[in-house]
Amino acid sequence: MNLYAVNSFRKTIEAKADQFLALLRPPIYALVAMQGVLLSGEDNAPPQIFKLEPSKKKLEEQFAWAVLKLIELLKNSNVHGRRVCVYVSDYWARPLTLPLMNNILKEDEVEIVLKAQFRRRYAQPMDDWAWCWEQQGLQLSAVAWPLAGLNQLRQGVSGQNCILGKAVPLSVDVSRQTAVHQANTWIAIVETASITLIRQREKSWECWLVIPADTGVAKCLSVQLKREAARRNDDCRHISLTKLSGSADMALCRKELAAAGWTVSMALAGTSKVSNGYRLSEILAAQGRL
Amino acid sequence: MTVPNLDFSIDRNSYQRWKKRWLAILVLGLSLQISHLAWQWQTLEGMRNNLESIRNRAMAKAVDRESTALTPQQRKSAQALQEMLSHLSVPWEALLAAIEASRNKAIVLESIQMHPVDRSLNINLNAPGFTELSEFVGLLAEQDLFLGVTILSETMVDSGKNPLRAAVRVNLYSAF
Repeated sequence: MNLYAVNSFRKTIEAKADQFLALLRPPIYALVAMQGVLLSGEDNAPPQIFKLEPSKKKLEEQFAWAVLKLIELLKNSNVHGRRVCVYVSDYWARPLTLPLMNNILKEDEVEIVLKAQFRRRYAQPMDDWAWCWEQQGLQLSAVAWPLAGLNQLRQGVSGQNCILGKAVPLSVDVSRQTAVHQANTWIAIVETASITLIRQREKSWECWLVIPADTGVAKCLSVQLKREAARRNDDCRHISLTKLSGSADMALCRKELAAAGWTVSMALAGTSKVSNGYRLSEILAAQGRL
Repeated sequence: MTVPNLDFSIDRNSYQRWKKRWLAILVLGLSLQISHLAWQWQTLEGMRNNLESIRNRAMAKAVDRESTALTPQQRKSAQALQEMLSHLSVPWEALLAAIEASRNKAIVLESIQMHPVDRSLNINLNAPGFTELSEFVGLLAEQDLFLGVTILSETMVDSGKNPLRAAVRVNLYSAF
């Protein structure tokens, strides 16, 4: 046995031990949003932030760039052997909800259905996208992320002997908090360049859209809500608004939606129990204002 | 919770693979445990049989030893003594009174034979007819001393006064 083999064996053992110990240590949280990337500090250290400039690149490339910056932050902060929980803005997500005819679909059947539906919905082959899904009764909820960026994230995290503890869309994390208070509602999550719109019923999500917020939040929302409510013949007129980032005037938005016949509640406002994703978004937004 | 659990950190394929592996490990562990228990049971059963045969051999030896300890004469005396003791325990007075209370005057008792071991009594009698015999049996059965009465045999012997000869078995209550 030569020295090289011994060294490589030692490194493998160390990496495995690091990964095991990562489960015992508190996780590190990260946020990948359109306006910047944030990595929560290790052991009360201040968070590290990298600001992202608006770009006209393709969505996939933008995501890969943001992830690259997150990995750089991870390397610079010299984090090893930790769990990393990553929240990614819905700006890069392609969601999909689908009512199912049959009760239970097999894994491969779901994959086939999703591939066809994603292609139809986004008019793209979706070969460079990865998706994950969950079946909630007769409703299928899925979300796709650019594959290159996701692979980069996985490799970058494991390259630091860390474990990717969580990689979830920001709306999934934030709406978890809203779902506790209101079971039957529309949920709108407002970010700098996008609005996530979710129709939540008691047991599943029936609609999940990401719409660009280019013509003002209130206008975008009221148009989209009117369209979706009419399309679904849905008489629910309750909406829960959450602002994560951006310069939208939520008071005005609330007023306009109320004038259009909607009962509006501001989610997470004044509550102490907020999701990690929301907290990270707040920190990033506060840093952006400085 | 209505929010779907969508997490890209979970590799669905490897998750399914791990699930299958754990299931296989569980099944393997269970089957090993079952076979180990079966093997233990077999061993214990073998030990039990072995001990049983040792005990039987020891008991047989003890019986032999007991039986060889007595001479034929002594054994005969012991049996006679046992029989005598059994006869002593029979409540003869009450027994005869009960039989006499049930008997029709026309019925003639020829012999009464006691079997102390199985607590039964054989009565040989002559009766004028079956009506008298069945009446006697019925009255015997009503006596508190007796558990059950059975007619063992009945034969017509001649055309005299009591042409019906019968044998009756009476079972005594074990308390008497």
